[in-house]
Amino acid sequence: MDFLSYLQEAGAKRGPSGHEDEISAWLAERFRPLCDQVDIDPMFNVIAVKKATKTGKKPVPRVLLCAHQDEIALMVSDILPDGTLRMGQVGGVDPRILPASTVTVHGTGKPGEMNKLTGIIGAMPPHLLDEAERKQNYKREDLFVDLGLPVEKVRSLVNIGDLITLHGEAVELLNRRAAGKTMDDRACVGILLDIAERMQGMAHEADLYFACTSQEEVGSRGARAAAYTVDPHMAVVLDVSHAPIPQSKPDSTIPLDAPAASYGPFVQHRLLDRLKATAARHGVKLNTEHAEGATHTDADNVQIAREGVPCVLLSLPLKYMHTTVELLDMNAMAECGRLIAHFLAELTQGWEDELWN
Amino acid sequence: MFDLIKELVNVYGPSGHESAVADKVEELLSGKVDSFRTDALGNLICEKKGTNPKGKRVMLSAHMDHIGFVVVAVEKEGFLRVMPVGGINLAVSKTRHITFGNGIQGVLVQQPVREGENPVMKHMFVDIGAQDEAEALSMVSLGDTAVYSNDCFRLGKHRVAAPAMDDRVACALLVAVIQELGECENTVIAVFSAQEEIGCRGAKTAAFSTEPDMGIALDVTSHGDTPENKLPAVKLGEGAAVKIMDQGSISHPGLVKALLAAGQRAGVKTQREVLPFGGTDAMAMQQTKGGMPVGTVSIPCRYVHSACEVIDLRDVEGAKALVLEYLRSLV
Amino acid sequence: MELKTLCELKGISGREEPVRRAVYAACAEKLGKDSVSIDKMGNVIATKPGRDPSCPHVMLSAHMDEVGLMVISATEEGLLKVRSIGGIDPRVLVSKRVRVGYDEPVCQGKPDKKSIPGVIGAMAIHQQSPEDRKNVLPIEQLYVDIGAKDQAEASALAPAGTPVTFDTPYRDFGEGLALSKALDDRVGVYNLLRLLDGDFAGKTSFVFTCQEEVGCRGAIGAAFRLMPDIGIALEGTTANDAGDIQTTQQICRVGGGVAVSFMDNASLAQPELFRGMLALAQEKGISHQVKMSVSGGNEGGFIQRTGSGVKTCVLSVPCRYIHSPASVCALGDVQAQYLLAKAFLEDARLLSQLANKEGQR
Repeated sequence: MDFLSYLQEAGAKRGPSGHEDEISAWLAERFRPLCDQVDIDPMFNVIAVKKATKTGKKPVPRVLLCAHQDEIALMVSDILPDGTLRMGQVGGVDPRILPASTVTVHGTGKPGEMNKLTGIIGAMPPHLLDEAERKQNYKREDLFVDLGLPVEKVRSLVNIGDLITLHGEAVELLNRRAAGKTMDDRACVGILLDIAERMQGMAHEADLYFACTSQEEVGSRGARAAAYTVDPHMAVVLDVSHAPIPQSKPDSTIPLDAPAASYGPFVQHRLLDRLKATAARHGVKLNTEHAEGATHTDADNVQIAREGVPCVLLSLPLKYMHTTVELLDMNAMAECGRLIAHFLAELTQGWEDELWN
Repeated sequence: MFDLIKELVNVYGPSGHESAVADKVEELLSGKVDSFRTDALGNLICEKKGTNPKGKRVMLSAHMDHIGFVVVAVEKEGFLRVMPVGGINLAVSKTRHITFGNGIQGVLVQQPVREGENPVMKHMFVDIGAQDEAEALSMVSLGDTAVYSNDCFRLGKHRVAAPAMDDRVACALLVAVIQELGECENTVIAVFSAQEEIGCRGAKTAAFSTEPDMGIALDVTSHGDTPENKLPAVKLGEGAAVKIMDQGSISHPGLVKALLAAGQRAGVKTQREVLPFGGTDAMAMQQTKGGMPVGTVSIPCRYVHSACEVIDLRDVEGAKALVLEYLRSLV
Repeated sequence: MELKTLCELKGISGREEPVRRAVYAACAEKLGKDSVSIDKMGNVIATKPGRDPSCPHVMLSAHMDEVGLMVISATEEGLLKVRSIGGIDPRVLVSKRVRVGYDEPVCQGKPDKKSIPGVIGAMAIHQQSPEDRKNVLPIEQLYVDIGAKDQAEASALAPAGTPVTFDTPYRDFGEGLALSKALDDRVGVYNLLRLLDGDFAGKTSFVFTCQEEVGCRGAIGAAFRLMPDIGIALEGTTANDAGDIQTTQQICRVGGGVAVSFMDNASLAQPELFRGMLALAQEKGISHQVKMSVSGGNEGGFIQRTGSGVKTCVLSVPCRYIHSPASVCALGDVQAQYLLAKAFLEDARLLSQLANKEGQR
């Protein structure tokens, strides 16, 4: 799979949490040729099903594979008398990335139309700030979006509640690395597509449910609904995790060049053993990551859906998370896809017998 | 509408003890719905069947409970120690007249704190006029609850103040909607929910058992039209607010559009609301089973979670017209 | 099974295998394998049909997991870095003994495996500066020393993910008290196992849950599966009654009987059920107290919000120094929890009153 062009296209589709209409429609079409059925549910989750190609004796297990399609973004919370806009956040937006950023305001002022307006996030110029003020980071409440338009024009084009998305087209760097916005978590959605592609040529005994979940950034709300609807026997969740940068604290990162599997109470430990054995068998480098409590990914809600779902959580390492220059290693993406494809192909009946020993 | 609101705000009903409110609502809606039932959490679930078997099932939720206090200990001298039930703001609770469920009156007082220390709930005590522990325990028990005492009054031409506007004003709104709805193609499940203030607990179980196609919460929201209070950018008297987002839920964009359009057709003012904090029953409805599209229609309110919450009657009338038009035109 | 045996079993949240094995075996022995199952969260669920179909279905829960630590890596010098599983105040960890890993039984040709003793050391006081003495050591700066020479030896014996439990043997203490690790919630498990012998009016499910200490995860799945009418959580709760604490801050007293909660931060006792429980305790002369607090969360909250709603009540054994290597409770309070739960399950009249009359009002 051509990860770079996927990342460039996926990053450009609008899909802030709760408003994933554009990205979900695009993803549904990408999955359609690879799956038996693709649906978008009322919360914009894309659920693509690839049925088992061979059946064992027991009822066919359902495996849910999740990665989230939503992005963090901003939202118009007020229109000031001079036509500039105040911003609320959709998901956790670090205000440090905002000053001097170019954004797109998706204006719904004209009924039936969506006007994409370019704006710039402004703040007081440094020349006019004193020493103490310059040492403080900006707070989002003090920043504004400048559209360069008079207030009457702004009010006719923009409403409170309109979405504001950040810019950050994916760019290729050295060593098969790439940087851009929304790698969290569309890169992992890309891995799901890669897995679906690989499974075209592999036999599998489980029904595979690929879920591009919505609203993860505001509490994994889409995954909760998707897990309930699909009612899987087990789940594989993919999200990003932190790769080391100079300021990183010890024991808080995973190396950039390989996927990592989490261990801890929210991960089923025998399922994890099985995943590690698969990695060893196929020469996939798999690091591990400690998760002593909540993982802050879709796994948290998937594990407690209905009667409970045994889960494993795989992380794609990412530097500079929640900025518009999130950086990853495309080789790690490919290896992650290769590992999960083998894991799925090797899932045979009786896999759940050892879970609770 | 004022009389209906006044009748409802004066009923005793902190979270977990909403039965008196449920009784009052049932009285007001008698003959107007096809069924009433209560569930294990104390929700009052009223169903008004639609005329079209293919019509939608719409759950409207307004919460009956409001914030209060619960007795956790009794001092030897007869003073009570209490903890909050729901989001109590200490600053507006000092030397406050409170009333217990059994009619006992009390004064909630903050004892002096040490220099530099921030007052918290353990620095509060309640004086119920008892001489000692024995007398106090003859008047109240551990686990008994209390609320800010009733005090509903008109404010200027259009506004009303009272404790418990959050969320009795929306209960009044929902009662009025059901009273006036008449024949409708869609089934309306009017849920007067319990235990919203302690985490939207009632709406969760009500949504589970009623399985609606969509959920609309009716609640109050804060305001941006008094000195220093700028967000949300919502003003009293400018109409019902259709919520785009708060911390608990992101309204389904299609539902937001439909609610705003209904307001326009009904000829009433509407506002858009983006709230940086808080949550409503919409959060609980969206998290039930396989999820559903949710939205919230908010009544702008000043001084929420105080003993003098203020709303504008015009906004309530506007919200009623909007909701009625939405239910009638939904296909 | 004795309380001592249960307390000394090892089982941190998410890795409850040793406790689960013992509990499953005990349930299967009493009720037969067909009445016991292990569900998708690892909970052990045993169900007894009732005599009276008009009585509501009651679910009782007690959690198998205890708070503990988890190894995340080994330093070059062979020390083990750990993190807390469940809420542990790091101040109680300094200078304590632990067991690294579990004691695994001989099975399927695999050798008998024993847990490894370890200690959580700290800098000698002689070498501490006045500043050092003021600082609380966070978990990131505490290490478990098993005596390993180097990183290779430590990682081989205790790889990342290895569970670590407190090494506190159970012993009788003071007058009528017990001192042990994991009283929260092996006291509940102990009572729940004893309740299996009872002959009850309504259908009763006995749920031994997982992962309570990391968010009541097990109870969520179990309650969903069972959809009971009534939920009773048997817990160990905080008693703050020693050390000259004001009565009104004590929460509950060790020796004051089973603590019945009207509210905590996750649940609100259904008023009828709460009053009924207190009246029942009064009538039967069972030592009891009202828990004087609204803090703390437990399975009651999640059970209450399951499905269409469940009427819940929490019955707790007061424990001093909960979530530490050594906690204290009164055996009389443990017995009181058992007696009150048993009386409730046998009270067909009260149960019928509480039955979901979910039809018309």
